Amino acid sequence: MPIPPPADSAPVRRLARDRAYDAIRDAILDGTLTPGERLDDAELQRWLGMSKTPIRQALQMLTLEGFVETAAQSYTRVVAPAVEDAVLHLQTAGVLVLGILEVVVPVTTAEQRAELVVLLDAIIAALEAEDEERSIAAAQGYYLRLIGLCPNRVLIRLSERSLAARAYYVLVAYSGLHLDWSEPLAAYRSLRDALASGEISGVRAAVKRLFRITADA
Amino acid sequence: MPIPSQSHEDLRPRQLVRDRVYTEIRDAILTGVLLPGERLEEAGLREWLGVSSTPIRQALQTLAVEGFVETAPQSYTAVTTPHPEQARENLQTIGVLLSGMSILTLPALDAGQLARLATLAGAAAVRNRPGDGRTAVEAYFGALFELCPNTVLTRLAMQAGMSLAYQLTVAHHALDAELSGLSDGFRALQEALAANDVETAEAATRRIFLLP
Repeated sequence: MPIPPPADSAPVRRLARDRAYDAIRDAILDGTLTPGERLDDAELQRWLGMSKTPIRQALQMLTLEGFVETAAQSYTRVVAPAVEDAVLHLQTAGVLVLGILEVVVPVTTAEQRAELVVLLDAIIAALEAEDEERSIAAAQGYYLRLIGLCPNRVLIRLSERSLAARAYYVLVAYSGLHLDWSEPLAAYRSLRDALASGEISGVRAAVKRLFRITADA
Repeated sequence: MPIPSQSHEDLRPRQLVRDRVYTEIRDAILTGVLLPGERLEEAGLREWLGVSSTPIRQALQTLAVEGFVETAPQSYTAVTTPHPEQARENLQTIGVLLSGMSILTLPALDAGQLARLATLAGAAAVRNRPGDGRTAVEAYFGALFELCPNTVLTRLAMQAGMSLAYQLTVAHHALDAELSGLSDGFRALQEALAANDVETAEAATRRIFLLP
């Protein structure tokens, strides 16, 4: 396991376990820790400069979220996404996104929807250019704004704790495969049009298509 | 903090200590042995469960993530006190998970499975208040859980749903007026399922959970 560069100096009064959580999560997301990589207690202690307890707490949190998997008395490792299970994670993320849109669309103003449309246009442009990196960055901007508009705090908390790990799983599982860009592109275009007109049934259909939320996926 | 009596349920042989501790504390909360707002002292838990601090802390961390307990840093851990003003948000969030499960499950079912769900929905139309204890509502959604092919979603719904449902049970009076339409919602669900109309069944599920 390569040792990532030292984590940023932490702001005052943050708990050690939260700092450990952030550092390990960031290392997984930026690829410093690779899918399936074993996480060794002693190495993590040396890297993070803290004791076993906060690191174990952070790993437990990451396990609950799905970034890390553990087998009793055996290993702790970064999750190793499998192509055949990716659709389950895609659908689960979609169920949350669909729920957020269900509560957001009826309470947004035309200006707020226009703002979301601009963010969706950025995703569409990146997909048209087949620029994966840019499409991921654009999607992050859109989903963050969408969560920001959500009036239901319980749903926000659940999404914050679930969406990132689902997205990681799907992106890693599909990376390196030659995917058909036309399908997500078409789904994002119809989502854009439905959202622009504030039409919830169109939004629903587009999200189901995008996240493959069908019983026969 | 009263010490609950030892439970006698059989534990799965290879269950980890921290998983057993988690289940015991969670069940004590769900059954009301531990009450909302009640402080959880580590010494008391050690004595009750007969284990060391480590698995207790791990279990409390999981319970905190799920929302069963609240912790203040450097301070105490207590059973979550459900906030009535959050009852609607809890209900909607359960609804997001369960209506998603409906979309993924119902279209692939055969007529016999839909008919069985219709019967369960019919029972839920009669007995459905959150204060009713183990109700027909749970029986309906429990059956849906078992039929759902997406295990990632069911795991998330188990993880989040139990605590949300618990908080709702404790604070449901905040929604009394709005929940008066529950019976109509379940009846609409029953009729749609009996007619093999899964789209209407999905819409009825959203309505039951006060989703727009």
